[in-house]
Amino acid sequence: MNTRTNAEWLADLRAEANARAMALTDLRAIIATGLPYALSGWLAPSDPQFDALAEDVTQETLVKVLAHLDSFQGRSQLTTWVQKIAVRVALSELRRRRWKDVSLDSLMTDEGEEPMPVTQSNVTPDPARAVEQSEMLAMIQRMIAEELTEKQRIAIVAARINEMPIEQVAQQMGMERNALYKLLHDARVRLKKRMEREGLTPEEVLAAFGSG
Amino acid sequence: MQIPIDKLKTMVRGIARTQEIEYSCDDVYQLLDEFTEAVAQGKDVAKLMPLVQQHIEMCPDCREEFEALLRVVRATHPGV
Ligand SMILES: [Zn+2]
Repeated sequence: MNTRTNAEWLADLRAEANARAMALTDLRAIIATGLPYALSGWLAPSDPQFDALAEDVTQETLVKVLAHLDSFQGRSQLTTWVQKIAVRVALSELRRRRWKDVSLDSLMTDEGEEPMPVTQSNVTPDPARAVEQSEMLAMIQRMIAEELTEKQRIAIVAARINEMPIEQVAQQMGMERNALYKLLHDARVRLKKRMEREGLTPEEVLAAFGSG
Repeated sequence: MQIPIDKLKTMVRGIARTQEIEYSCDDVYQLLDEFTEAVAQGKDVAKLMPLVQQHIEMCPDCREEFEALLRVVRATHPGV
């Protein structure tokens, strides 16, 4: 089943009728073999939803494979490239299901509250250290308020604080995942530069709040 | 919305590892099959494909996809 070379796979998948049908049948089996491993920790093969998801993922993956065959550059096994597509399709669907009832609004600050206050609950009882920590928190909050756009703050709260997948955050913000990563990257760059201007290193911040 | 201290630290660690130029999710997706095979073969990907490695450390979505693909490659292509 998995004994074709990349060139043989490509020839068969581009062929008419028989050879192509056989190649697709084999790819179907290859995807089916991989999915339980891909979804390990996400969805067990014994789950009643598994079979229907696997069928949908396989179908959508094969459509994408045929549509993007020309973009395969032969830098991996073709089957790994196909599995990569299946993984993206499957995890996108599972993330969508898992997060469909969580809205960005429900994660955001109440009216009038300062943007992104840091919780003080586990601040040290040592008074000298407590002063250092609260000064640092105030500084970080000022940087967040002054350096970041509203969109960047929303994205950070959702993706970094609430650990919503960036794919879901992007969708709710009407953006592509790729663009959302760039937005978050730009936010990190701005905060990094601001910290440098303020003479504050990440190591100092981490040290102030104890290791771990 | 409050930032718990542990999340703040994670953010600060992310800032510490931020590069001016980083790969995007699309860049990484292009290379993920090649990268994952290289990891499965025990190659030094931090040296060979440092920008993919860095993105995977920074981006939870891409990291999950890499880990899923690695499980598949390890289980189905033991020789790769
Ligand atoms: Zn990514």
